[in-house]
Amino acid sequence: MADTTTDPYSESSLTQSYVIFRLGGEDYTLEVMRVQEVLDMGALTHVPGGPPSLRGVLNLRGKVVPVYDLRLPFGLTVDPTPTRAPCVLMVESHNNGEVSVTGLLVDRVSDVLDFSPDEVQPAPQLGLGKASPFVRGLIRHQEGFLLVLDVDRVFAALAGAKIGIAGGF
Amino acid sequence: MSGDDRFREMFFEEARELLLSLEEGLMELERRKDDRAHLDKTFRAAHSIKGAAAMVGMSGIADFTHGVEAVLDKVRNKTLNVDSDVISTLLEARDHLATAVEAEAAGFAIPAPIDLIKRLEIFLQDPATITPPPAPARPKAPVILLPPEPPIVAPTAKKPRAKKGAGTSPEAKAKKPTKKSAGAETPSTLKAKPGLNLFRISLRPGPEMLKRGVNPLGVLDELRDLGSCKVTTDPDEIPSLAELDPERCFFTWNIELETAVGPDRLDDVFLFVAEDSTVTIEQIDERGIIKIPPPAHEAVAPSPAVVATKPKPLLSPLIPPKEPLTAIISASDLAATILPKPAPSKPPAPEAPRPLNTASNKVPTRIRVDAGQLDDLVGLAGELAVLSDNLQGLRELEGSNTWITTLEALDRVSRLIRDTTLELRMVPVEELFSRFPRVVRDLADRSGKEIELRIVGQDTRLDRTIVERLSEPMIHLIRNAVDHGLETPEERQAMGKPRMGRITLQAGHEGDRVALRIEEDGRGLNREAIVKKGIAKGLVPIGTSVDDPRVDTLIFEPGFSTRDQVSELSGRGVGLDVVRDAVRSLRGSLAVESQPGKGTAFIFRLPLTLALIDGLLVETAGSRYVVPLAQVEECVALNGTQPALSKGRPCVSVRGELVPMVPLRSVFHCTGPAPLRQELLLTRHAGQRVGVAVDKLLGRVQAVIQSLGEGLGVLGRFSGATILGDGSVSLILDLAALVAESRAADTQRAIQMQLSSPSPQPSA
Repeated sequence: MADTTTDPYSESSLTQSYVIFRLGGEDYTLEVMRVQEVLDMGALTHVPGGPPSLRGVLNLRGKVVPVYDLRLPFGLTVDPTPTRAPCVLMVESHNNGEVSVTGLLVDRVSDVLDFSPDEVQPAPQLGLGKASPFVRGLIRHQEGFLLVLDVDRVFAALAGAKIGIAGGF
Repeated sequence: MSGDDRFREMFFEEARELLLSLEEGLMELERRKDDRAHLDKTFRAAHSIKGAAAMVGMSGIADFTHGVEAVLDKVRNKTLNVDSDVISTLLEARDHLATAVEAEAAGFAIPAPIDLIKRLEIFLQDPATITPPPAPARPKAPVILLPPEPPIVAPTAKKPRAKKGAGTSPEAKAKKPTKKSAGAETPSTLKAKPGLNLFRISLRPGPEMLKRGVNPLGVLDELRDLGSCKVTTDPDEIPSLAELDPERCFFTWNIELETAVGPDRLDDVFLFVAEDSTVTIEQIDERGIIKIPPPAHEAVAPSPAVVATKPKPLLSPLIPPKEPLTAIISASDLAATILPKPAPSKPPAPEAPRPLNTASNKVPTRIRVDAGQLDDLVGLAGELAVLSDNLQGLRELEGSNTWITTLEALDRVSRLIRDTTLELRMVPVEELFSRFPRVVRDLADRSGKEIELRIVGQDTRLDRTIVERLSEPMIHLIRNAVDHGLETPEERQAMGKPRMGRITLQAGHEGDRVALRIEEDGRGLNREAIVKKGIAKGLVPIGTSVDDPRVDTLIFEPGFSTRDQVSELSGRGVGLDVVRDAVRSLRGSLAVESQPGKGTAFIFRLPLTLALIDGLLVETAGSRYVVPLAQVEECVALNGTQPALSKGRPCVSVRGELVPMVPLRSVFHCTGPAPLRQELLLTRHAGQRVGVAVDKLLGRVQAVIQSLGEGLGVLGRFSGATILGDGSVSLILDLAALVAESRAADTQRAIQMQLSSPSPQPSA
């Protein structure tokens, strides 16, 4: 990567935009490419018997889309009386050439920022609790860190949980 | 997707279709031995597969197909008689091809079974010659050192080439008799040059050739396989770099081919390029003179004296070297012929080989669409209809007069859109039925029974998914019919029935459903044995009469019959529960009708479409659910009736009958007290009435079903979701799964209670 950093052209082309969002008291981030849209949390239909992290399904322009709450599996705090309604990140996942959309419930979306790859540091093995396997890296931002979410791993774990492999998700 | 992948994808699609028509062709061939046009069509299917496979570089498939094609060609040339052995082998070869194509699609190649290759080879051997060992690899040069076969002179004006048979353009027919070689062709180089034909060929690819995925080099390779080739490339037309279109081929190839084969053989080579390329073939006779051919339409009509045919040369690893080569003898020595081949004359109307990657179909235009996109469209159209429904409420408002026409039009159009898109999902059951002649034939072969298959109503249209998913259940029933329903020819004769058993597949409408009947005129169900078994299994009370209507349906019970009861029960019941479950999962039902000694019929009754259901909207603990109307036999109000406990399960009395009850609230672990008045949805589970209790009935809905999304499909209790008029999502309950789930939980609980009797009953 040494040669690319000296070339301003390729450096800028490598810069990625990230959506910054708040999740259970932590600042998380996700490549903007993966986020189809952000919705205000609307009416969800509860799915009795679904996995605990499944908050329900919603109608996204005529398509039924599941919405998950990652705070439970990540062991994060759930604010019982949120000051504002949470919102839903519509995240795309690609599966055998098919694009499916899954909703992730977050406390709020604060910003979209550009970062270059060398600003993304490897995630520590410890200290992130249950979320550790799903954090791909850290980005130092202002006074704190942004946790880069590895959505593919999240979806894999969700899919596993649905068929009863990794319980608790 | 890269270009290569795209062509491979196209190949797979084409190949699947061609393999289907090959199979149908082979099946028909047995019945229509003398139908030349049909034979040609079948031959062409094989030839097209070969060409298409070679073009995408699947030489294994191409080589193997060549063997199939060669056998068909011998049939065409009347040097091989069609018998059931030939057909069976060819069908088996087709099956191998189908497997090989799917394997390639999955990314690996499978070799052809040696024994199959050998059996194909046997057909290709000439009875007059000694059995030679099969050539192991595709010969790069024409087979040499062969004794020429004495030419067989056709007694009648048979056209030498099947491909140009019935339905050919007059032009193609006319040039036929002019295709002569100089004297008897000798395949052997030992017999010196005069035995070979010399052709001068010019191939000028059309502008679209490369875009269609046709590789001109493949053509050159194929020519090289026929004989020795001198290829020169004419680059004159290559434009300057600035004007160069990289997707266009600007070369013209000039080929001098010295070969033992006749001009007709060359036609095959250019089958795929002729579409938009300019191909001229000139034949040079032994004096080295290129004869300018008479214009095709001026050529003389075929006359018996002129034409003589011989088996065509076949060059492939499957072909033993002794394979006789073409010898076309002409009475008048028309030593050389030029066969101009302007592209447009190439595809003869209905039997034209379907060139790869072209849309030159004259049949009603069809386009392929992505099934997923179609489903999306159905979903959206359904929602549009719902939204339009909602808007209709505006009509009631004051001052809405100006909008009434628009609202009405919106209502009409949105319904039309929904109905049309739903119609797009429908396919004729023919797609399902077309594979059964083959299945029945194989089964008849194996069982030694004589069977006639009748198919009725194959135009009946059904949801695509249903057609796809019914195949296995139907094959299961057909197999049962052959193995166990139909008697042997001897038995039938003894009973005064025709030797040949008959299986009838019938499709038709019954109200808003489609009924598929699989009927056979065999021995009928053995009710005594079924009743005995049913009593032994505790499925029916002791003393049940043989005439009890419940008896027949016993055969659908899981585990009702196993292998060792096959003979006793004439095999009925083996896995029939699986068939029934498959039909139920399609929201259909399975029934049986049987008369001793006269036969048995199984009847599938299926919804027209899976995309829409008629449902009941119900409410439990504040959530709304849709229940498929087809699953509900009856709704009964429970006015505070306290369920009684029977064997630890809650039961209620419905008109004197004690019916087990599954409260939805407890299955879904809802909190809060149930309302006094509940509604009981009566459904049937394992032949028994079961009630599912819900809080409220809200009304009937027509719902467009959507899948619950990835992974959530494993929640069997919901068969999907739908979007209600107010835009909210409602889950669709599968009552059968719910009842089964609750039963399983009951059993589990009972076991746990027995195991740990001191501990309190687990709260599930």
